[in-house]
Amino acid sequence: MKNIVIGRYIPGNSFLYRLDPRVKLIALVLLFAATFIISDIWVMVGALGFVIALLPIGKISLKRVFQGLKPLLFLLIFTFVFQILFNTQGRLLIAIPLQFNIVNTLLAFALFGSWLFLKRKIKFTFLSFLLVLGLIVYGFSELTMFVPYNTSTLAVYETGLTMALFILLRLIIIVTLSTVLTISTKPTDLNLGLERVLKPLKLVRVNTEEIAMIIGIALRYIPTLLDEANKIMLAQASRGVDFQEGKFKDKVVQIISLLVPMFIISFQRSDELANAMEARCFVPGKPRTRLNQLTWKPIDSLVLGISIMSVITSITLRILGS
Amino acid sequence: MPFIELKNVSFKYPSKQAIEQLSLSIEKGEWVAVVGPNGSGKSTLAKLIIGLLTPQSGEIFVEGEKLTPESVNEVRQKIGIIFQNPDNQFVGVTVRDDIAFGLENLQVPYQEMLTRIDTYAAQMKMTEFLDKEPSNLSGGQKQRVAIAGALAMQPEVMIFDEATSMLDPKGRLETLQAMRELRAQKTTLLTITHDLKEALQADRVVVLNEGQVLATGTPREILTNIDILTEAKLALIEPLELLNKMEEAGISSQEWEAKLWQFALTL
Ligand SMILES: Nc1ncnc2c1ncn2[C@@H]1O[C@H](COP(=O)(O)OP(=O)(O)OP(=O)(O)O)[C@@H](O)[C@H]1O
Ligand SMILES: [Mg+2]
Repeated sequence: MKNIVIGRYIPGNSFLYRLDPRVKLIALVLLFAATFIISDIWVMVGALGFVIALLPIGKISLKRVFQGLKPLLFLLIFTFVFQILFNTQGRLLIAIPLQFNIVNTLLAFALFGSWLFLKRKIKFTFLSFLLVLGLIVYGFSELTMFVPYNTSTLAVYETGLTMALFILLRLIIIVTLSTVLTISTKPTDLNLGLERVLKPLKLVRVNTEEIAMIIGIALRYIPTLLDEANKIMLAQASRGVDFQEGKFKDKVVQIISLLVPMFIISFQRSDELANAMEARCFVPGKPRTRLNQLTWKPIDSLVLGISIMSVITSITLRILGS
Repeated sequence: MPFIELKNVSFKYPSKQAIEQLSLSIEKGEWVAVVGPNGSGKSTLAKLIIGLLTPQSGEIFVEGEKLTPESVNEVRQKIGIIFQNPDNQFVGVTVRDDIAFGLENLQVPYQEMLTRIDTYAAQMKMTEFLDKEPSNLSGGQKQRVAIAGALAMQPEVMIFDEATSMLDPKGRLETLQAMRELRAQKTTLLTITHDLKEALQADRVVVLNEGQVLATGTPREILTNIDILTEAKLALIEPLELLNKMEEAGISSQEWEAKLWQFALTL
């Protein structure tokens, strides 16, 4: 539970860390918008280059960002493959005939079975498994001595390929930028920035300050609750609940034995916390002064300017391109 | 005029009569310790005084002002309260944020907020921890932050509801030391406790039993009265029983008792 990288602040010191959280949030939205406006693949590659160049300048380790991308690797490859396989517009680039016969079908099933069995012992990912599976199907389809019961073609079209690349690059840019934001911004600052940025919503009677207060308290109590969960797990383990192994039924028991005490304790906790807050003169909705002030610096204007410029540039390039 | 005055206050939870026809007054600058068995209504009493609960009958006055839903916010500014569980009263993400919480609520201006945070963090010896998160603090340190947060609001009374009971001996001593310092600064104190050492230092001890005041008097009067201690199921009965027996047997002397008190005070 402690290895979640997305949404994790890592202390550091660079211009990205010193940037006003409001600017970071607005810039993020603007750059997201730009990636959706860009319609030329080379511009997109350029944008990715720009984002990657940001990492060393902002002293953010590439490794951390990659760790942020890793959980999404499957999604990235899936959308990529999906686009390639099902988008049949444009020029045909490659066509690979695939023949399904008894041998490769059986092999595929056997492989799948052994994967299910072996995945506990040997750590190899589902992706490498899929790769081997594909190679087997392809390899054995050349053996013409077995009668194929199904023949199909793996075809890659130009538009499919560019679309797939587009989506892949866009996702990588978005995830990298978000990871950069969370690595370089304390959750409390992010919360404060969000509160200020969303302030106009007060006009439509959304109480942004209260929402920010709730998020702030949630942030404050996450470590405490994790601690508590650990303690409960230890206590339950000492009563014989095994949290490591088990079938589905055991898993359900494990989860219940953790969640029920967590719920009870959290309710009691929130009750006491509400009392403590009220006793310190907290009145929901009443105006408060704030200790955490945000100060606008020249670098903030610069970054905001660059972000606006990238949106304008991508719009211009799109108009020129079409 | 007493600083806090309760007149015939009764409070009932849906399932339980917690306070019954209770009258009590606390003078300015006084240190009152409230003792009593579990469930005798001590915490309920504290919550009534700061208006977290509203009595079904009776009246509560703070500095002559009656506690009503309208006056409760103003009255609360005069009272700081420290609860038992250090974790469940830490609102801020850091020590600094937590001390600021009450000040933000009182709409203290930014500059003044900074000076008050510095002053009260220093008073509670938490200056070097200002940027720490609660998960990096001991229970005693968290309680000191809670005290700094309450003091920063510059209340006239401090209530401690078993503020030391979840702490280790070191944290307990630290918190007790903080109470003594407040005492020296003439802050009115109401301490609810199971710890007789805490009660010993007060000017007056109030014994609560089943929602009523069983007895009130100086610590010496109360803590040497075995009938009261037995009825309120309070600890320290054995050594005092021993003392009484020794007295009966003529072994005891004033000197011996004084020694015992000395011992009790340095526990
Ligand atoms: N929220 C509640 N709902 C119902 N009953 C309650 C509630 N809080 C307390 N009580 C009951 O009211 C009585 C007085 O409770 P109170 O918490 O004031 O006792 P206490 O003297 O502080 O006890 P302790 O020494 O255990 O802290 C107890 O019998 C308790 O069970
Ligand atoms: Mg209590």
